Amino acid sequence: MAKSGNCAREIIPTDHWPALMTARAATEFLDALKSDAVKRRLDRTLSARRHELADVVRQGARRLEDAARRGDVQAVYDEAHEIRGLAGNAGLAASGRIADGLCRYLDTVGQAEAPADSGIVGLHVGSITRAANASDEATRLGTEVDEALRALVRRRLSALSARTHNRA
Amino acid sequence: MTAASFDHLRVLIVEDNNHMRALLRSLMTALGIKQVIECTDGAAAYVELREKKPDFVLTDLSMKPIDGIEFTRMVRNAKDSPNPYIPIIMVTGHTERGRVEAARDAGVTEFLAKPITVQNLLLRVAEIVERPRPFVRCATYFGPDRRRHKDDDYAGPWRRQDDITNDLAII
Repeated sequence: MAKSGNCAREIIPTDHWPALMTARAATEFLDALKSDAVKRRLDRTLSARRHELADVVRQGARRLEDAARRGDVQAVYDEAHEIRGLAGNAGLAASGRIADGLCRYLDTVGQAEAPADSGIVGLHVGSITRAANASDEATRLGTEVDEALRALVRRRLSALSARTHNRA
Repeated sequence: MTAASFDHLRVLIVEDNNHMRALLRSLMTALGIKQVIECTDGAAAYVELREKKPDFVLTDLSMKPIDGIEFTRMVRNAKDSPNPYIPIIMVTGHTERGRVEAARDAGVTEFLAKPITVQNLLLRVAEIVERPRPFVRCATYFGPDRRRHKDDDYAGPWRRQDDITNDLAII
């Protein structure tokens, strides 16, 4: 074990603990990772799951709408979080980006201990649902909606920040 | 793939979403990894880590009751940790810098961003096999060296105490 520099930082070299696998196994494994056969298998795996994941995202979008209708902010966050995690691999990138924007908005207002604006939540939820069900989901329209929502959130958060600052 | 010498390789997947967990399991199988252990949160994963002794971990970030960051801290720092050096790949869609930094500072080895792509998956898995990083222990951190790249052409300025002393040692 080598001590580095000012002794406050101890460097533990990689031979200090057992290797992940033998040298031979590592070579074979790395060769496999670089092979076209493995890449094709991975591609097939991702493609095969895409439709199933898209269905899951659409079901999530319906639950998200229900949660928003009930005004259950925690449930809205949980569903949006699931959607942002799955949407990319479901081929529903715009839904994922908008869901990510909603999660970030809820995180920020939560940290500021401010109530979530139901209008902003509703716009996001509606956009996620529409994008998840549109055939051209990943096209320009999805991107434009995402950008417009982000701009709206930025304006609202600036206003919130200014109000908080003035109160302080 | 024929009977390979990495047949024994065992991966632990920690992911609370059934669908993402199934996707990760399929991807690991497609990589030729035959032994896949699955858990839905950090607490269960810690038990499996002790009992099944996996070789590396793929973990989500947000889980309840114990998330990926806390799980990583336990693996790296708990006195009863069965393998504090195990490679941990965090699969995350979180774009918040603070969360990613917290995961890095907990001792995560690699990050695999969602959506998962073939190229990124292969890169991250190859990285832990091909280029394992030394570990660092200091008052506030134990885990893989967070300074990944050593640029021999870097002309400074040096910012850390041990950078300066190492530099002086070369002189």
